[in-house]
Amino acid sequence: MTFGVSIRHALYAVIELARADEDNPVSVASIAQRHSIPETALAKVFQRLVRSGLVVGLRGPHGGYVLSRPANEISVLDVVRGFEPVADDARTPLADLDALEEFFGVFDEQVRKVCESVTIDRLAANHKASF
Amino acid sequence: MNETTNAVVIRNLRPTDLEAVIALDAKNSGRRRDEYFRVKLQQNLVETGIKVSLAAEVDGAFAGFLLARVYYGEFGQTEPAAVLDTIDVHPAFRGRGVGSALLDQLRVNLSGLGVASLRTEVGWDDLALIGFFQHEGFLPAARLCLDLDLSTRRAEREDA
Repeated sequence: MTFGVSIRHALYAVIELARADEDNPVSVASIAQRHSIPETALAKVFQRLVRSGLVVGLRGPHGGYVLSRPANEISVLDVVRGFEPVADDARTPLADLDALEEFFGVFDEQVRKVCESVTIDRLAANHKASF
Repeated sequence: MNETTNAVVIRNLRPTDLEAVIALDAKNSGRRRDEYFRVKLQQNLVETGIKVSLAAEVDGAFAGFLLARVYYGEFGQTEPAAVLDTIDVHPAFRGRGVGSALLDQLRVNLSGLGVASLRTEVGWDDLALIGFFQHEGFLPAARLCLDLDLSTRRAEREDA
């Protein structure tokens, strides 16, 4: 069980945009080449990222994509939401749930919290462990 | 006890280390926690059977420390387990194996206490620390870490 391919590609993409200068849009082709992703598949991922409001496309000879807001304001959850439904924040009282649904609820909430707590700037920084 | 790893000397934390501990924590966290560490050190130095506190020195300079505690049966566990409360390495000495040397000595001390399991907690956004713990062999636990917001009352939570 893991993130689907499209979500992984989307995370690669937004991390590349986070690392780029905001005045220099990044092309789909350059990200596709860097991460060995089929360009057509990545183009579809970018369409979803645009629809999600995370990315803005800029036309012209030096066109490409930029993040719509600072990377520290975009969480992994924001990216995932563009591709998969995420457990609703509203909580059903646990007493009304059977054991399996209770497990689903806690599991979904845990995944949601983890994805919400990690922002793209942290992933883009790629700090190496040095203790 | 004076174990060395690449010029890193590990020893027990002493009462005289208090200011160095507070200063290092403040340097890395951005705030001083005098009272917290004063109480923590006092407890650790008295209750050595359940608490382990270690300091690291490089060329005589205070380079890092850790605080751990042994739990005998808490959280429904039947086997004793240790919890790593705090591990801190001075930025000037990072990348020199200080954290690893502290953990190596902690492993030895905990084995001596008959403890076979060490736990800690780290935020998902602290990727550097997660990387360090993974490198040291820590794995995600199959337990759920739960928080309760004490500022909201039960009725408010049930209405939500």
